[in-house]
Amino acid sequence: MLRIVNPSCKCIGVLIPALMLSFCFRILLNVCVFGVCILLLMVSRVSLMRIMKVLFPVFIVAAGMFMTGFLFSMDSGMTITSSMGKAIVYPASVISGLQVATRILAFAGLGMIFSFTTNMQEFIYSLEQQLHLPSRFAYGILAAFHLGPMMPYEYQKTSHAFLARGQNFFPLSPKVLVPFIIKSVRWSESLAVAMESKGFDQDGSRTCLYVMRVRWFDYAFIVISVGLTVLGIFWSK
Amino acid sequence: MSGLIAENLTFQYGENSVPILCDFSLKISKGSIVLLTGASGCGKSTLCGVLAGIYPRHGGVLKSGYVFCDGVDIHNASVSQRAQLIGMMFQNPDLQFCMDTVENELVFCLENICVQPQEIPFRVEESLAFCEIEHLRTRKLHTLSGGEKQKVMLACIAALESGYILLDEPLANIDPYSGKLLCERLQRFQKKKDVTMLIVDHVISNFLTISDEVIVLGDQGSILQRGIHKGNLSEHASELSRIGISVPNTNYTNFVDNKQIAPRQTIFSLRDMKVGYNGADILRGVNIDFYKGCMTAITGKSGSGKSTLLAALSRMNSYKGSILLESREASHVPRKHYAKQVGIVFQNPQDQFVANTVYEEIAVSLRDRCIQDDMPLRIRSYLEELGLWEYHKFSPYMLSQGQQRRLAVGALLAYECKVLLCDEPTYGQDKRSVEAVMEFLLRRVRRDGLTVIFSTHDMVLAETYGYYHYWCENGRLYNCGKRQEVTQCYEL
Repeated sequence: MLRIVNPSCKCIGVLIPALMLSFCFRILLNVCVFGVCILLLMVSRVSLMRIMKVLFPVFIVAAGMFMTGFLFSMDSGMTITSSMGKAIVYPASVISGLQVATRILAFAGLGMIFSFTTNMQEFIYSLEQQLHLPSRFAYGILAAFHLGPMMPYEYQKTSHAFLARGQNFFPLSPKVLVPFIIKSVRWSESLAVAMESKGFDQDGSRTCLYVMRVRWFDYAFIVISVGLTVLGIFWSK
Repeated sequence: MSGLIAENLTFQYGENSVPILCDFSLKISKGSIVLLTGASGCGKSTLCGVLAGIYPRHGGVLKSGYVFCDGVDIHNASVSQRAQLIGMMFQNPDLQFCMDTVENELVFCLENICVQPQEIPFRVEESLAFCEIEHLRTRKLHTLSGGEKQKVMLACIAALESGYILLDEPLANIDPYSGKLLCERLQRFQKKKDVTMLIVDHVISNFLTISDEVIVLGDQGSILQRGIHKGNLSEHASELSRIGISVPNTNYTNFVDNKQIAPRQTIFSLRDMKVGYNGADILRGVNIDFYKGCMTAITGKSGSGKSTLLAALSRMNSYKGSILLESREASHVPRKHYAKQVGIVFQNPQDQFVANTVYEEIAVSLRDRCIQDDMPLRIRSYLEELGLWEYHKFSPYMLSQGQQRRLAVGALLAYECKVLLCDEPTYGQDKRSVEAVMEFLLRRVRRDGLTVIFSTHDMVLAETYGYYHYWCENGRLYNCGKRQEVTQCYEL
């Protein structure tokens, strides 16, 4: 279902609620957003395994954030909250931990509904056509993105070069990353030349085979996602 | 004013640096195929870049001169106008695409030159059919072999309908068989579209049969000889050899007396070894031995598994089955200890560098191997042996490709590894640089008993320097012995 939404509209419809959530502390709202996101992912037929792979580290981070909120809470008193019509008293530190932990879950949910249901190429086309991203950035990002599959092997070669000379290093340490960055700069130069030799002019006009359209349901997606978040903020007050 | 005309070109990379091209002039008539050759570092690729309008737009200073292509000043033409006039095929096929699939890359080219959207699918179809790569249409570009990538690049040029094509060592990364096919494709392309081709290569045998003329460049782009073709090549053979250009059917100067370095013991024993990548087996059921204290050559078509084999021997790739390093299972040796015994020189020497200067590059290797006070002298003697002492303060990335390769090999040897695996140590270099690298390795083999296992597409090189010669095909490795048999394998 979410796959047919225009990528730029989907991005806006995800970013605004995420921004609103970052300014309020509503445990219930965070949990609801997370729940709705998982539901939408299921409806959009995203594989459960893919979701679990992301959720595993997310839960670890959320647990870490809970402990941070729990241990370093400013308020050492008690907080009264209500559940199913009954008043329950929690230590303020637990509430503080839950506020930050559930927020992580909500952000992860929103991130997943965007990344798992959006084609990167279509997103860039849409940014160029709907949000007027200059083509030099749009195609620069695409070219860099398509170099992605080469990266692990390149990193492996660089780290092996250090090992072969008896050099100790930590994974992703600056020692290994410096030659890696130098290579990346050289790649970017080669790619820029190759793109230009194919007629790509960053300031020139170009035609477009894949036209990304904005239809009524794309606007509806933004209105509904933002509207529901606003309602949620007031409802969970 | 038809044809490609360059007049009085003087080009240098820095404002105060030595000119790479000095007062260079050239006229290439429309519809011809010209092969431009010369020793490594004479400015062939730079000339290609200047003719295509890449320089000085992407670096360097054009002190004087102009380039006209069918009467259009290339350096003042718009990018899309230039692309329709001159197409370019690069040496490194990996870094010439910006989209994900073959079809999207062709669409990208056509959108750039403002072809109407309704016409684009038809033009894509036409270009794919012309290069006979319809089956690659939806393939991801990073999954293609070097030869396939060059064919896609040719399809891009066909789509752009460029009238002139500059090819900068297009066969450097592909095997002779794929190279031969690409060559035939280029010739057909030229005949059908009546395009003009300027090919830069230091191996003239690659394109001799299809070229109308061979031009030999000297220092700073000076033209040493013109008008060479298949018919009169023998008259110029000695002069070409003198300046370091490989002439067809000639051997490397330093022929190894194999008896002098008769191998003694096995260093690697591979038993039922298997290496897979993304679920597919690249090598399977490999049962072969490599011997200590000699050079072993591995040849085979692109994608046959040569690099995979070297990566497995260096333990960069994981493997199944058994690799015994001096009777000890390789996977049981701690990785750090193993890396110190078995070094690997990658295809691209830049992958090898770990320091900021040429001097430090050797110093890193010697740090644990000699007394601190002896270090400066040892480093100097190493760099002098490599012919790189005068560049010791330079960044390794500023050296020429041949120098980078010598440094990469030298730095690993300074670390005194027992086995050196070299993945195509000579590609993209002229005959003289090839001999310099191979002689350097050979001296170490003779003097220190080093074991060298190298992969190459150059059959003469394999036969000249390899005591053993293995052929890689369909995921298996064969001890193929005589050169003739291997040559037949390539032609199959």
